[in-house]
Amino acid sequence: MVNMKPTDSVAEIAMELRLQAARLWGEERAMELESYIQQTAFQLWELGQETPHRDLEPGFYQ
Amino acid sequence: MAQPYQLTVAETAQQIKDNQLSPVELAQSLLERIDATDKELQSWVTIDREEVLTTAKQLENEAKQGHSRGLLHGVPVGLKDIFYTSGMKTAAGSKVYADFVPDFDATTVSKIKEAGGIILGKAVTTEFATSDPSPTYNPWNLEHTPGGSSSGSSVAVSSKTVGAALGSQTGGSTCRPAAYNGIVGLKATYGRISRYGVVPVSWSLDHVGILVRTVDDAALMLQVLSGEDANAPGSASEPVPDFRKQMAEYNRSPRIGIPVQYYQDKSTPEVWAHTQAIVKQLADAGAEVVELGLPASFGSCHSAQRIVMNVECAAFHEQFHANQAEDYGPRVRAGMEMGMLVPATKYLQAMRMRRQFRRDMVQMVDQVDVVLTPTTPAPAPADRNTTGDASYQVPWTSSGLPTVTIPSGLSEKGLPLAVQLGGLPFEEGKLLGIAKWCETVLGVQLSPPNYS
Repeated sequence: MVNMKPTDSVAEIAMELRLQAARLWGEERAMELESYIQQTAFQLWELGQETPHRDLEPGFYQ
Repeated sequence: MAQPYQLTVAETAQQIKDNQLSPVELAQSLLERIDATDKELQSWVTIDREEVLTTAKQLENEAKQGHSRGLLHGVPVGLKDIFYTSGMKTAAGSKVYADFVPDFDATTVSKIKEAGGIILGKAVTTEFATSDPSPTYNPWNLEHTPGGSSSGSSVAVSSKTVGAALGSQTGGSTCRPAAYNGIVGLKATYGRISRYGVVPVSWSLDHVGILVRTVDDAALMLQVLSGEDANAPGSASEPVPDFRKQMAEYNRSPRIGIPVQYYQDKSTPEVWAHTQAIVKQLADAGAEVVELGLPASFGSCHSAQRIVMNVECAAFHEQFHANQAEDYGPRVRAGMEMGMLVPATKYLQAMRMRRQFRRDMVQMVDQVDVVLTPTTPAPAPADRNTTGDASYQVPWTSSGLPTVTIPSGLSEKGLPLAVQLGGLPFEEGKLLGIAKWCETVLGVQLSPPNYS
């Protein structure tokens, strides 16, 4: 299970993703995925900077 | 006199209705055209010639007797190879689905047939409609990407092997390849066209796309394809208006909003200068042009879209991935693996931000009749290892608002350029009317010189 806090930096998020990738698919595959892990970490960090209104529900079918 | 394969969908349908064109003659013309061009362009993957000609003959007989099944009577249509076709392979450009033969038609395929259309064949898609490039070539320059993921559908329409083809858009997969190939692309409002029987990338982001050569044809195809579908949970219950009637009402000088921020910085100088010249041309013809600010939620819309896409893609492919991960292309596999790593809370936060973003986009668009941007930051890249940049489509896809792209000129290197117009949810008639007005004012219809 990936463990992330809202205050985590991009590097901390990337570390969590890397560890989980290695657990699931091995160290070699985790290394192959490094550029994707960096992108995903940034995307998760960027989302973490947003504070949705407390009454806002997710929109599945728009 | 124009060859049958050169006609638009509207022209073809009218000539068949008037008994001036035979559906068999048209089908043969397109099949010969495919023989002449597609060894090089590689835009088609499956064609059942016998079935095409048999159906064309049946429709020809009906037309001779004065019977019309509907708007597409006798008109061939292409399908991206992710649309289920009963009894015909639907491989989604993949090894994983290589032998998959559906036992029912996608709702969109049924609608085309009910309207008298002929399924000409299946067009090449990138693997599972994601970003590993397809083998298809761009008819404008074989060394440049045709874009994706609806690469075969776009190239087939551009090179005139079919007048209309269906694609799909989860990020930018309809409007981007339409722009790179110099044709018209329409992504209607989320839920307007059923996705039932379409191999998914991401349920909450996927849209069926329309690829044609004129705005009139986009409206005609939208009329055929729209409507609520009890089989599709994301299908909208909005009534289906007469789009072509609405289009005629709105075919007049509009109030156009231009979001300069972000687009000016991200576009190449050539594309931005071209877009400014197009805006001036439209203003000179009577359009009112205002600059728009982007909402704050625009800042994270690309990240939210990517997180949602990867997670939903991972959910769909989880079982296949567990057993045959090596059979996937590198990008689609990596994307779904990233989706497997994202915590559920982050996925739900991304979905909440999408809802906020949609509200903000509606408020922005509501200030004007349409929003205009370049369709892509640059013309088709000279790199066949990419499908190009979808960043100008993502805001419209993620928010589910309708967009249409129309060709607007050529770059210095002779590649198509395009502008994208976006409107309010379920106001496609108005959007297409304004697009038609722009199409008329600009007077740009592109055809690749070597495949005209």
